[in-house]
Amino acid sequence: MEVKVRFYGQFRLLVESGKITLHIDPPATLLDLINHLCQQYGDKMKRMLIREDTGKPRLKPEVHIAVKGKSWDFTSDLVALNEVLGENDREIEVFFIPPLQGGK
Amino acid sequence: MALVKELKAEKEDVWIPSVCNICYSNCTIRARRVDGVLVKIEGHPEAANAGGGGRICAKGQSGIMLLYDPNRVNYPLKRTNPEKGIGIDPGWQRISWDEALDTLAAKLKEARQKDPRSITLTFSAVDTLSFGFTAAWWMALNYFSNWWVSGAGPHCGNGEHAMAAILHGAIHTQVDYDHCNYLLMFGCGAGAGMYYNATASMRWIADAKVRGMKVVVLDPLLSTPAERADEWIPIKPGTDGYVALSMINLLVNEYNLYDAEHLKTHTNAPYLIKKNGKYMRDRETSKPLVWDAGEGKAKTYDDPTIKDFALTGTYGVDGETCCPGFQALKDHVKKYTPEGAASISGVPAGTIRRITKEFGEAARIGSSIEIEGHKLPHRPVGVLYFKGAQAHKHTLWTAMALSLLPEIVGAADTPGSLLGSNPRCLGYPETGLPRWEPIEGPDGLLIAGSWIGPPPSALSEVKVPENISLQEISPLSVLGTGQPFTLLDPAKYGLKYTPEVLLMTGCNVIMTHTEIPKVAEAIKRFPFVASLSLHLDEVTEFADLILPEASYLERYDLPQPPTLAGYHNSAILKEWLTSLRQPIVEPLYERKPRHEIIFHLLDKLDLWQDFAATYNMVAQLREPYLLDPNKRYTWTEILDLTLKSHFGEDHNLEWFKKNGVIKWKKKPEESYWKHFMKLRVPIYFEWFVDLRERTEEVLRQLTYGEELDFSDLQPLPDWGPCASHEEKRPGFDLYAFYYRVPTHTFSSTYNNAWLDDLGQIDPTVYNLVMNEDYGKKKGLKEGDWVWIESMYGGRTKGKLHLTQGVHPECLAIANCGGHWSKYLPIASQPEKGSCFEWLMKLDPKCVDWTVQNWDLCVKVKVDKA
Repeated sequence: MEVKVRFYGQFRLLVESGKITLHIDPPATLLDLINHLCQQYGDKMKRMLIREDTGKPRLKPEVHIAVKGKSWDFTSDLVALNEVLGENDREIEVFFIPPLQGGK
Repeated sequence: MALVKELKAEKEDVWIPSVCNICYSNCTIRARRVDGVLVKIEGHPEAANAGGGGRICAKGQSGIMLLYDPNRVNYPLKRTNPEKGIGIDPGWQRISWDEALDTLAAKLKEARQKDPRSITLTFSAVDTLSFGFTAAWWMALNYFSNWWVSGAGPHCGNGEHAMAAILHGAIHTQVDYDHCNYLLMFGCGAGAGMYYNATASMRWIADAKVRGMKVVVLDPLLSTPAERADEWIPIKPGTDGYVALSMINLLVNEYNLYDAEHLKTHTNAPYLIKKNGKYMRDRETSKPLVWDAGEGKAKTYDDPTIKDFALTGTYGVDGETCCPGFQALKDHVKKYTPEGAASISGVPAGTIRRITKEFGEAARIGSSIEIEGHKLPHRPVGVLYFKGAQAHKHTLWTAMALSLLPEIVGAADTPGSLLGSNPRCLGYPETGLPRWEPIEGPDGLLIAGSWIGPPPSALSEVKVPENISLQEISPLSVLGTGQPFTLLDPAKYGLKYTPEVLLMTGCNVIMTHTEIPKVAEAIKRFPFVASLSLHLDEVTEFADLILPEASYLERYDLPQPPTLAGYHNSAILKEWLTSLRQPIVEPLYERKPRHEIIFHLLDKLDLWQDFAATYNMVAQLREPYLLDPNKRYTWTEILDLTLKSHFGEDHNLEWFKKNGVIKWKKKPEESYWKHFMKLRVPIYFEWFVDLRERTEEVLRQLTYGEELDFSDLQPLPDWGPCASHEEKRPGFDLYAFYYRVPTHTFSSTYNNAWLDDLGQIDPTVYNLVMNEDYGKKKGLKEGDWVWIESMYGGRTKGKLHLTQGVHPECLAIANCGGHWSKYLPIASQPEKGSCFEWLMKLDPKCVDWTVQNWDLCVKVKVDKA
């Protein structure tokens, strides 16, 4: 499955191109994608995305992830990110955006 | 006769529904247009409960004068005079829109190539465009990094907003006026055409008073809300927190008037606190422990077997002595006696005792009420506070104390009490959108479900600041206010980029931040300044380019959804409301709506995709109404998709243009969410201990770290003096403070001819308000012109109004008068008020850095001019 990942806001300072394309074997979850990004961009990406000092790992308050109109933020622990990305899609876009204003 | 009838029939005479924007309350209006001319604005009758309560204030009616003000800027202009300074004419020259947009796009492109953060965007809280739109173009242009909200810190409510988030899951609070019987207000304009829900709350409070609600106002000034109250209690500026702490002390230690059941069920009052100020935690799970008085042992706070949460006493757990948070509060406030409060605040101890008893008894602790089949605790008391109380050196402590006062009697998010506005929205029934609700954070404590950026919580991060506002180091603040510091000395503050472009929209930061000459100098540091403007005001003296903006009466917008912040105008009870802002007339002259200007820029900078992706998220668009990032839309097309996404296919833009307003029932589960969700709030702010430790760790990395004081980050509030309380030099014997009047909105309305007429009727609008006994003692009389010299050296001039309606030790200065731009011929007349900011000092010591709030009271000496 082709996953186009677009980064907005301060994520662009880390991933300068703003968008990357990954190939992940389906069925892939959002957590798989996050792990993939952490491997590719190292500790700095992990520090931008994940907070591990709160009992259970969760997205950081500075992160908002959107896929097809659904979104996840720090209110979701990482287990909740086991949602399968685009089960029937060959191509999907995932957006990483700082949380300007929330609401789920 | 027949001919006359025919002509009348052809005459256009229509009422158009829309939304006001003369202040930030977003009241729903309808406007009468006759033959293409706006002739009347009034409240929309369909918005009877919210959105203005079916009425509109004098400011709202005066929108006509904004639309047709002959001093509006109507054409793009460029600067010809390279010299910039206060009072220096820019030498404006008219240019075409093409030249203006090309110039601005080129400057922005150049800046973005260096670093998008080199662009700073200013904004005003008054300027209520769709937050989705604003957030999206800011994200596209500068990564939502550097922004400067006019009035933030000096005039906004960073302390109240933080407490509203932490205790109520909202951005501000209101009172359940339908059921409240006793309202205390500290330095707040509710019910008098100010504060939130400006027009609707006038009616809510008036109706509640007819029903029997007692209103007591503590304020140095007999302000408009105080005039209407049952009782006005003059208080010295900056001492509200002391009075609140002494009231808490009386309630919990003397009168035994606190809601134990509420504290046990809905707060962290039973959590055990160790001597180091932190929770006693379970060794295995790390969860906070409580003491089960039923079984005489410690258990985790969420243990279902707990028989009775202990609120008082001391206990030994794992070899350590600890006590419940409530006991810690009781012990902590003992030193705040009414007599001590009287000596600091000037409010007699007997008065403090009386109003505390009235407040505690009016809370009817233990009573309940049935609302739509739900039996809920009935706590009919509220405490509202805003700028007057919190614009002081120890903002956070004051906000904590004033927020705890209702919390300990259980008057929080329950019928009759203080309510978050609006923490929980389950959405329009057909779609479930927009939707947000508080969630459970660490240790079972609430985190606001919607906020501007990450809401303050135990998860809040502290970072080395990279933005010019320095906000990253103060996560409790909703709006950063450090801009002039960093702009004047970027090397000291470690900026990794050079500020290149300032793009201003809807604000006048020169008159609404702090020490005017320094703020002016800070703005001059930007090599290029552009402004989307309604008028050529004081800040535009520093602009290189002016783009004439359409007013709210000449454009489309959706000011309420999807943000919590934008839901100001929804009622706290009964119903939700969304209304469409639409043009009453097409933009006059060459004015353009902001959306059109920004979309031109996004096109030129190839940033449309970034805009669309952010808008989809912030505006909560859902399939099939998501914006396609590869497609270009008009603003009305985006509005159509947004409305359909939230309210269903039938409620499209055309429907809203005709009907204006959509309403749906607000459920008890939304207004009184506390009883339908298992979340607790702190009465002991334990996570502030950790936040302070993390903040100090960051401060040690900064060359300027020692200048920023975060010592107020502690789990329970204290009281501390402002610099003005410690100024003892001869002659400096008056506390000057800033207050708001219902006649004007910050600095933005002073050139409005109708409001100017109205302002001249009320002697507290344009004059310096001084106690007449003080005036007589100094040989001053009504109408005298005086010079005011601040303890910091700043000076301004004004005309005196002598009255008994102000504290004898105070001098009150209204809003942001004293304009000087020659392009504002009404506002710049000499008798149109004074600007408080001339008295301020750009000094880190004048800021409460925990919430980035400025201290707005200074000692002054007054001399006849």
